[in-house]
Amino acid sequence: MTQTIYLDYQATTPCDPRVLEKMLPFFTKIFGNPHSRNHSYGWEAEQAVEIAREQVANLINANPKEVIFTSGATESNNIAIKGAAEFYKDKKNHIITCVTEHKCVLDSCRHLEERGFKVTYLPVKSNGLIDLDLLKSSITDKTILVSIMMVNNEIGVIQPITEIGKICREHNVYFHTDAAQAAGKIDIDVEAMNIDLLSISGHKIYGPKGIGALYVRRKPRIRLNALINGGGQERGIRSGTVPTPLCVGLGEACAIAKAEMVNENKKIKALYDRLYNGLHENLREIYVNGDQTNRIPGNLNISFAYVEGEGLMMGIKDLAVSSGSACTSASLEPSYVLRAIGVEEDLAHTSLRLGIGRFTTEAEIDQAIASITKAVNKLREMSPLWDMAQEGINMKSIQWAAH
Amino acid sequence: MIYLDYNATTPIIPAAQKAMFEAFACLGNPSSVHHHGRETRKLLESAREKVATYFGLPARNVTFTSGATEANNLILKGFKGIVLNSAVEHDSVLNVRSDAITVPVNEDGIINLEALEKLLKANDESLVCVLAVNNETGVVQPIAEILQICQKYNSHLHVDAAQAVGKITLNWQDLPSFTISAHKFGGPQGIGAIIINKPLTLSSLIKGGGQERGLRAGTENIIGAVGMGAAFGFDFSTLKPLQEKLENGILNSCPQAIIFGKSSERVTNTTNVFMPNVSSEVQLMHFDLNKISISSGAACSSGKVKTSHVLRAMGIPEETAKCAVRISTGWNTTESDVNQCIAVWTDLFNSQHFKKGIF
Repeated sequence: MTQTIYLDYQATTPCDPRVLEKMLPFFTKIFGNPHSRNHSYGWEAEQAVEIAREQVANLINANPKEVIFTSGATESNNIAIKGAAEFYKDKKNHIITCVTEHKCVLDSCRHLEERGFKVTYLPVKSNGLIDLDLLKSSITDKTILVSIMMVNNEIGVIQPITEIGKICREHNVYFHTDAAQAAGKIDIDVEAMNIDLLSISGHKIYGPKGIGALYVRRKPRIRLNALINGGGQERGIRSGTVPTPLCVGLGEACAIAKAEMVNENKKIKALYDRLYNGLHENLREIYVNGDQTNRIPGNLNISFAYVEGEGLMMGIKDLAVSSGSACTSASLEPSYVLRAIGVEEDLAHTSLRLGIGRFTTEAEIDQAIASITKAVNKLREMSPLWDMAQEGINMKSIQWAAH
Repeated sequence: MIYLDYNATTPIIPAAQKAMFEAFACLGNPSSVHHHGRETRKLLESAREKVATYFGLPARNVTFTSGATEANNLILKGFKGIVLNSAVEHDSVLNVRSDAITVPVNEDGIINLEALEKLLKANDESLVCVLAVNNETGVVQPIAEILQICQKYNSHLHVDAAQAVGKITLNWQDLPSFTISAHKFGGPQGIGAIIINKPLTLSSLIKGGGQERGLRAGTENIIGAVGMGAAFGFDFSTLKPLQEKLENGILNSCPQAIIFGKSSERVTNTTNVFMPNVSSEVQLMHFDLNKISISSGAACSSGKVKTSHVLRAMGIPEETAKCAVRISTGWNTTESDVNQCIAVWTDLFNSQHFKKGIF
């Protein structure tokens, strides 16, 4: 075994070499503060930032004036949810979101609850998608905002964004979507989808860490209270020196994604099929978590019955994968997303998230299949539960003695 | 082009560039438990150590942020009690708490210590926010005395040290907390830190995945952190001879020129100077046409028309403040740059005064 095979593209992506190349001059010769209005160092930096802004806007069919640079999707989500809530709180006080959102959305909502807002956390169906009728019936005349992520980071499912946008528009409610895992992977059109706020993450789209964007609709306008005040940069929505090289990186990453998305998705889908089929041929009782159709091809979240997740991860040291999302992977609790789609606790503990991306090769997929197969078989061999299951014993009928 | 706007931002020093480029090879989210994640985590923690070591503090006191603006917002918004700011703070402090009490400064730009004491007496257990080095004038605040007064009234002093790193020596360990900004001392844009030595009850600003001990959520900017960790070391005091040369050169050409804050303790890289009867706009244009980059006021307000709040707080009349520019040097500034600057300044002064028939 030489190097670990990276299959954790949802946790983070490597910076595309082409992105790196674009950023380099801005870490060296073109170092000006883009807000320095008085000299060419500033103008050059500003020009680069504005080009990047346009590249981000193009990816989602927005006007560049509607794109705000932030330090990442976590910050963008914080601004969108808390910012909108605080601005409109005099007349309204209700937010709707979904139980499978990323922690930064859930925590922002919890913070708002502490401040007296009401939050509805919509459940999801067993395929991970929200129930549109339930959404409709949850909206009240006090609802400010609906926040539903476009693509789930753990199970890769794609929510019915266009339908959600339509419902929100009809009910006069703002619509925010966390597109961190969606940008560059599915077509995004903020106009067609009736989106008012949208979060983008640089390091999920083969750009650098430390940069993201927030789309803020201007027509009709949505207002936000700023999270970070100061020099008034980014139309007053986000103060602080805009980091030129990181913006350039995000812009280039978006441009590459727009140009290559269709072909890349074909390639990744082929790898997904290879991976899934390979595992399915070798192993019984494996279950894909989340809707099979409305799903991005780069995410295979899969449970291996009668195998313990952490143990499995130790057995596949040559693969970099994850069980549970990166942010919460230090804790031993099973993923709340899997719980929300109805995966039983035992099965949830057996899950792996396999992430395929731009630089994944067939050879890597084949090695992954071999590694996982070997590890799962070994663990099942040692597992008395697996033996019992093979004998046809119904696990649920057993009264386990505690001692 | 000659760059003399180091207070706006600094070019990245070679050691930091090198460290960053090496770090680009590191792939992984530091929160991931696999090999890639752990290697990236090591890189992040090593950068944190470097930051902490520079200040002689434990690494756990260092919380990475996206910059000084965010760090200032974090503490000012996260603190629930009363806030006091000086009148010469950066916008990233002044524009955060609309309910903050302003402490006046004297005409040298130094905080009025009696006023501070009086205000704290009436509002103990407050948060006091003071910048150590003014970004516009380079004036240094008497941090030790301010700290003493704060301690007397059980108040937490937060020092905005964005323009201080490498320029002055503070007793960093004694400060309850302070802000730093990488791109002001030779590191990259997009990274800073808040260093908290005396814990206080603080609610986080950016919520989510629990990073930075729950104080600042979001996947960490590894390259930025590495760049910041490797950027310490340039000693701005080596620029003192250049500052003297510059200021003497200007005063020789025009004895009526005024260097703001000259009579206070000031850092060695900043010169905020008044040219009689010539507006800042004309000066900036002239300098730019002569391939020298300087500025007036703070970078973030360089598009705005109103005059510097810092100069106004020092009691400088509007007409005078309108004719001030800021020249700031740094690690790559040479004597030749300064000579050129003096020549261009002088050239403009002479031609403007000749034009106006003033002699």
